[in-house]
Amino acid sequence: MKLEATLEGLLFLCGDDGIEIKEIAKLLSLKYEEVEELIVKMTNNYQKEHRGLCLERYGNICKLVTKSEYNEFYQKLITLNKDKPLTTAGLEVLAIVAYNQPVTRIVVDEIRGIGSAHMLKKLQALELIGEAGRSKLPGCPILYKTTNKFLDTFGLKDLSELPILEKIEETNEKEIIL
Amino acid sequence: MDYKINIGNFEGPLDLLLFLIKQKKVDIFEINIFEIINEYLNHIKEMEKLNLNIASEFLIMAAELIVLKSAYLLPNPNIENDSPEDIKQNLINRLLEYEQYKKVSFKLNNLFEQRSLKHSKFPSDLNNLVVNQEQEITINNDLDDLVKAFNSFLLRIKDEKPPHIKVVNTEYSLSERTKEIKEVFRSINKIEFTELFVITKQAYIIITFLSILELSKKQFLNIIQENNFQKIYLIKKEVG
Repeated sequence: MKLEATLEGLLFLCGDDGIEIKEIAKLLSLKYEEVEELIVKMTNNYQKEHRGLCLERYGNICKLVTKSEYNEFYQKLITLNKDKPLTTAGLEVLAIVAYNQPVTRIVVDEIRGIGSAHMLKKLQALELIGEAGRSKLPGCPILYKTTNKFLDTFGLKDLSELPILEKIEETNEKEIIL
Repeated sequence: MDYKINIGNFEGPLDLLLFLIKQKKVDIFEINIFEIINEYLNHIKEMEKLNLNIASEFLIMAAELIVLKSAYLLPNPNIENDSPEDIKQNLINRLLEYEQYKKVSFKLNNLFEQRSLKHSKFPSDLNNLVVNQEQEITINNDLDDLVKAFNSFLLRIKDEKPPHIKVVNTEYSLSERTKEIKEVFRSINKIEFTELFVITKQAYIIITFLSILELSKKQFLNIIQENNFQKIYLIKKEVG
């Protein structure tokens, strides 16, 4: 299929940048839904055993990535850049934004019980969160939401793939929390 | 009570409270609120003893807990205020909500690690493709266009060269600068303020200013200005 071959080449060239679905639609002269179907078809093909790459979709961006099962070989080739994971505080703030977006800093502070202004700035600099307009409350505080890069960093196709927030209810039995 | 572990390593007052509750191995709904409050306050005292920098939110929580404790001990017949039970329930709700996010943070971290196992290639430099196209076009055009294209090519090359960056990081120390200024005052008694700022580097200016303030505090010199907007003078103080 010429479309699949073309898209494969494009994805290879773009590498880590990835391509937006609407860009693919423009380049291949297809409708948005047709691109989505094409991607699903190609993803299934890649998942076959003899392929070493995966087509991943994070939000509305697609990119080619290696399959994690072959990491030991890649490590022999080069020293893989081990990104420093986010700190506990960073993850907590990120989680609160992810599950409550769009959300103001004040709400994040209240849930965490401690100031989060610095961490929000840091997450913004890392492009994991972004501004989503302003609240109508007095002072018009900034609203935050997660970005496509957030989805990419945590391997999520979209926000519906976020792990479920467990609700802890009062039970009659005594149980150890945490 | 062993406070040696984790003495200062909490994300906030809620994190600390959850830790203290977990230690009791009791359901959060069954805690003895007095015990928890007392342990929290003791913990804060231990942190103070160790001279740890305590975020203000910890102290705000300490104050709130003391209010809650006193509300239990001295029941206030005034119906306007929240009852101690309400305040306690409010606190428990806050703790539960925070705990949800703490738990999900672990899950998110796992997702992060799994995603880190998948690698993608650094994007290709697509400039090579662009240059070829331009060269093809100029062959069919006039000399003018050829010259223009060549000039813009030269400009692009110039931009791509890394700029000359010389990073010079000279460190100035307060004690050294103070000594230097004292040396200056060995031969003269009075100097105009601005004359001490010889080098126009920001770090130097700041350190010199701080040195002047230090010397003034140590009673080494006086800072005098006759009238508003007039020159400022530094005058060595008479010893004795």
